[in-house]
Amino acid sequence: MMIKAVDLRKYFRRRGAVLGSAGETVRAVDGVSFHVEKGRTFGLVGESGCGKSTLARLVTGILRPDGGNIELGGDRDIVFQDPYSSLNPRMTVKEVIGESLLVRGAGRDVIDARVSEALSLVRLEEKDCDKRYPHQFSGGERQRIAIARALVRRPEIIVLDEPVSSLDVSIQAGILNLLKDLQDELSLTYLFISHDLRVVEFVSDTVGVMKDGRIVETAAREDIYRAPRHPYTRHLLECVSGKRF
Amino acid sequence: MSILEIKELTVSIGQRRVIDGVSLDLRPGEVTALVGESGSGKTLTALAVLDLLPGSAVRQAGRVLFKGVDIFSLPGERVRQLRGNDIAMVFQEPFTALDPVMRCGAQVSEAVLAHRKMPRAGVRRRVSELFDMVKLPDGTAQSYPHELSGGMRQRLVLAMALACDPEVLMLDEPTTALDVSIQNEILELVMRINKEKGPATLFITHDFSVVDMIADRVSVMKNGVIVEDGEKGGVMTRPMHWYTRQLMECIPRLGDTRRRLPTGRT
Repeated sequence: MMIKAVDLRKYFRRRGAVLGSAGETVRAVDGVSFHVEKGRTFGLVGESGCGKSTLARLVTGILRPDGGNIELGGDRDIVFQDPYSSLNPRMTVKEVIGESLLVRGAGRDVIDARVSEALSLVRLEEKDCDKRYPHQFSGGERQRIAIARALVRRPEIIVLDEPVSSLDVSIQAGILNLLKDLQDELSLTYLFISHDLRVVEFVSDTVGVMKDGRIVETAAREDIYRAPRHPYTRHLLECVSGKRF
Repeated sequence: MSILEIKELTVSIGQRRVIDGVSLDLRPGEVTALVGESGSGKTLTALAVLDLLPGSAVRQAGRVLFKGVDIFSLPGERVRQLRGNDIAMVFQEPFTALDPVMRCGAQVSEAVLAHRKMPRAGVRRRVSELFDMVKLPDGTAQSYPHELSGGMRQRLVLAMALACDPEVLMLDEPTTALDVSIQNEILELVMRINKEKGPATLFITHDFSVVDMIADRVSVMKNGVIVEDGEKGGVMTRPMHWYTRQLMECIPRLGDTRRRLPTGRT
C-alpha cells in the first residue's frame, strides 16, 4: 500500500463576527478513509468547496490533520492547478525545478543531473530552460515544469490537484498522456483530484466521490461510471454536458 | 435573416493578424458557438463587434453589420447606445465584471438605467423581473457580489446583460470557471433565454461537449481564421477540418476506452 488514509479530519474555524469570538467550525475533511496501491491512480472527484484540495494538502503534509492518520509508502510531492501562480517568476526554470534539492543541501552536480533527468522525463529541452523564466513558457509547458519539479526528488507518490483544469483541451490531452507515460515508466502512485468526471475516468483505477468533507462513494472506475450507487454520484454524472461526450 | 453579420474582418496587433478574414452570421433565436483555444482570436472577435478592441489592435479590413448598418461607420455616441442595449456581452470571470462595493440589485438597475428612462418603481419592477428570469432569489438584490457563489454571480451578470432586452447576446466562456452541476444550470438558462426572448446568441467556448449541448451552429477558429463552420449536427458528425476533429477527440469522454488522447499537430 502506498497511501493509506484512515478517518482523516481537518477542521477550520471561521472568524467570528465579533473580534475574538469563536466562529463556526468548517469540517473541510470530515472522516475520510481511502487507500491506493503502488503504481495506481486514485481519482478524487467533487465540486468546489467539498474539501478535495484540503485533502490534497493533508496527504502532501502541507497541513496537519486534526484527527485520523495517514501512512505513506514513500516520498511524495504535489502538482498544483495553476502553473501561473505555482512557479516563482523570479527564478529560471532550472532553478525552480532544482530548488527543493538545493534547500535539502544537495550539491551542484547532483542538482544539475537530477534537473536534466526531470526535464527529459517531461519532454522539455534542457537548452530551452537554462536561462529562461516561467513567463516565457506556454500554459502547457509551465505545467510540464511543475511536474518536473515534483519529479526531481524522485518521489513515489504524486498528488495532482486539478493539474489540467486551467489548460486548453488539446494541451490537457498532452498532459494526461504524459502523466500516464510517467506512471508506466516510474511506477508512480497518483492521487488525482479534479472536478471533471471525464478526466478522472480517463486516468483513474479507483474513484472516490467527495461531498461536504466526506467520500460518499468509492469504487473501481468501471463500477462508479456504469453503476453509480450514491445519488450524488448519479447527479454529477447526469450533469456532464453533451451526452456524446 | 441575420441580425448581426461579421464580414471578412481582419485585425492585426503589431505584425500578427489576430483576426484574419473572419465572417460570422448571427440570427435571432439561434445559438452560434465560436470554438477555439486560447489565443485563437475568439474573444477579440466579440470585442470587435462592440468596437472595443484594445488600443494596440488595428482593423485592417472588414465590416460588422448590425441590422445592415456598419458599426464602424457609426459615431461613437451611437455605438455607445448599441452596447449593452442592442448588443450585450457576458465575460468569462463574473467577479471582475462586478463592482465589489455595490449591492447586486443596484448593479442591475444601473444596467437598466444606462439606456432607459424609467420611474423608480418601474426600475424596481424590471430588476425583480430580471432576477426572476435568471432564477436569482429576490433577497440577492441586497447582497454584495462576494457573498454570492460563482454560479449566482454568473446569473447576476447575465441579468445585467439582459437588462435592456438585447437583440444580440455574446457570452465569453461563461461556464469555464464553474462546477459541472452549476455549468449545466447556466447552459440551460442561456438556451431557455435564447428560445424565449430570441436574442441572436454568440457562445464562445473551447469545449465541444458544451457546443454539443447548446449550439445550433458552430464556427471553429484557429490562429485568427475560421477553419470550419456549419450546422452543429453536420460539423460534429462529419468534421471536415483536422483541427475540428482534434478539438472533439482530445476530450476524454464518459466510457472512453482509449489509452491515449490525440494531441494533433498544434
